Amino acid sequence: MTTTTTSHGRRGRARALPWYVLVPGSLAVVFLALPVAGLLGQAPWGRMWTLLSAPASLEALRLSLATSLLATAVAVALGLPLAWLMAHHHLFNGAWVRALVTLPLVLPPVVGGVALLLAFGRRGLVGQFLYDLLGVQLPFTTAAVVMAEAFVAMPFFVITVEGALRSTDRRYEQAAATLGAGRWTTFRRVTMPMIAPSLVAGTVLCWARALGEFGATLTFAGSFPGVTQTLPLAVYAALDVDRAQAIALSVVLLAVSVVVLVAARGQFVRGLLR
Amino acid sequence: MTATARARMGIDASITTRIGDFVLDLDIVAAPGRVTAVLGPNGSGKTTLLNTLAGLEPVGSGRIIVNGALVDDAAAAVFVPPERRRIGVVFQDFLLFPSMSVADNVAFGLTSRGVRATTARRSAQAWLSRLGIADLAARRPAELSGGQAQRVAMARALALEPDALLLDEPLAALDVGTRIEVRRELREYLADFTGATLLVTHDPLDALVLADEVVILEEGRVTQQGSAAGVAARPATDYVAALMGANLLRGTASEGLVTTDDGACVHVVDRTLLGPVVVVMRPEAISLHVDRPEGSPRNVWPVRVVDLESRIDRMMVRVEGPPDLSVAITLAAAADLHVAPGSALWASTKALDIDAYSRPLMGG
Repeated sequence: MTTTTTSHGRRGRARALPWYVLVPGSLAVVFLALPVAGLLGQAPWGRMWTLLSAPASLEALRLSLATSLLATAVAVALGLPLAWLMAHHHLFNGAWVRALVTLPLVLPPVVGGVALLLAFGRRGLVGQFLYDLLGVQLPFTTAAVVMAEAFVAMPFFVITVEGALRSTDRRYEQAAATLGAGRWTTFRRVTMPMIAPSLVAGTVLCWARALGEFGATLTFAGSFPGVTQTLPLAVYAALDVDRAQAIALSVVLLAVSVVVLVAARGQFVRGLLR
Repeated sequence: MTATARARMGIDASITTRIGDFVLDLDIVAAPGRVTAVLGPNGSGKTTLLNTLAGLEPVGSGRIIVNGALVDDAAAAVFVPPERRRIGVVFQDFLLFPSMSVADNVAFGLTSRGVRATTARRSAQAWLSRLGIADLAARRPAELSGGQAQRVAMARALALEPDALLLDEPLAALDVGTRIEVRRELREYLADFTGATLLVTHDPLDALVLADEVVILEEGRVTQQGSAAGVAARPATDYVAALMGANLLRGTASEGLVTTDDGACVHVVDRTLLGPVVVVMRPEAISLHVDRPEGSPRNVWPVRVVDLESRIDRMMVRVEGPPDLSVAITLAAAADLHVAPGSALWASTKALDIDAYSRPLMGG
């Protein structure tokens, strides 16, 4: 954004902006800004603390924090090896794996939830065995929340990190090998520092997406206070009952989004473009 | 491991590797305590050779023995990965780890091999002192000049006390001023190194200054090898000749007369030469004349000037004959002769100034 303004500034005042660019462009800004303004304008600032420290709010906050962090941990633990394989191994570099990883990004989350239900539900692809053999029932549990969040959020981490791994100069890894470093040492001490900005960005984006997850969670895990009702679900549930509380919780989610936006900057976009 | 393999220290490799249309096919021996330069044009397979020796690429077929240990053998399915080869590599662009300080870069190899951090750090510091860059220990690679980075890369490779050292164009990334200084330093460090050093370069000066032994690599094959002075004096291929600045003519000898492949007659001193020969003439040994010269030189050819190039103290004149030659004359002589592209002149040289020898079996 800054580059656009400066380059435009350099071009000088002599050239007038055409109205057919200026008008719709400005309209877009207003369109994007208004809802934020509405949210902030109508936020019950005076009662904010009371509303957020109410037991129901705290419960949703705590559940959201726990599940989103766990989902992020799962996404990193599984996604980092996957990103490495996609960047460096031909078996994982094909269009199929890539499409599969990108799918949750474009899939309507509700459909994701239905799909999870069909895979892990009591009569699902894997779920029936889990139930029959281990007596485990995943849907509508806190574990289901974590799964729904991880399913939807993992691509953000994988794509960001894979892009970074792909663009690192592998000769540094070769240099490390000639210095006696095994693969794990090389990855930990040479590769990781080189992709650190993307690792951070990917993790933050992934966490933000997990925190905001709604559709897949609702479908696969339901909305039971204290068990599966995360912040977004709590906002939705409160909207009809207690508007002020819904707005207060929304402001929390908005604040998180702004922080994430600043932290992640352009890393994810760069990953997508690769 | 065979008995002969165990007896042989240094690097002893026999490599055939195919990459697409390119084939690297060579035998190379690098003796411990000596510097062997692999000199070749771009695309001759120098980097592939280096990567193969370091273990970054496996041999297609053949085997590599380092200090008596078999590290790669396609037939015996032996492949020792680079991290267990004990071969130090200094890469062309140094590849210092950007996130680590200079000291951590140098200590990296030791800590990777399980040496305790404090011990590794002390050792790294000692190496930095030895290379005269102890004051750079806390710097990041991005804050180093080319010459400094080169020294850090050397320290990093030497800190592991490797069995052999591979240098990939160690001076190519440096500017001309630094290069002369670093080359001189490099010569000192390499003299202290007890293992075999293999230096890959396209700069004949690196080879002449730094190496005891020179191997010429062209299109994946060794076309000449020997002492640096020997290769310079008797270039076997056009590439080496051009590199050394000499004229190289191929022909057939009989009773002191060589008929070159392009049809010129060249008198040589050695009357015993017979059959295919190579004739080498230094550009300084040839003179140019406006009129056909009378006198002792027996080699006189009518030539036409193709091209001129002035150097600091001389004019390099390309003439076409036969034979086609590069001639070095003084700037004063160039002015007297009014040489210009297209001028018709006479070129002459004494038989004594011509080196002729039987065409080597290799290459050519």
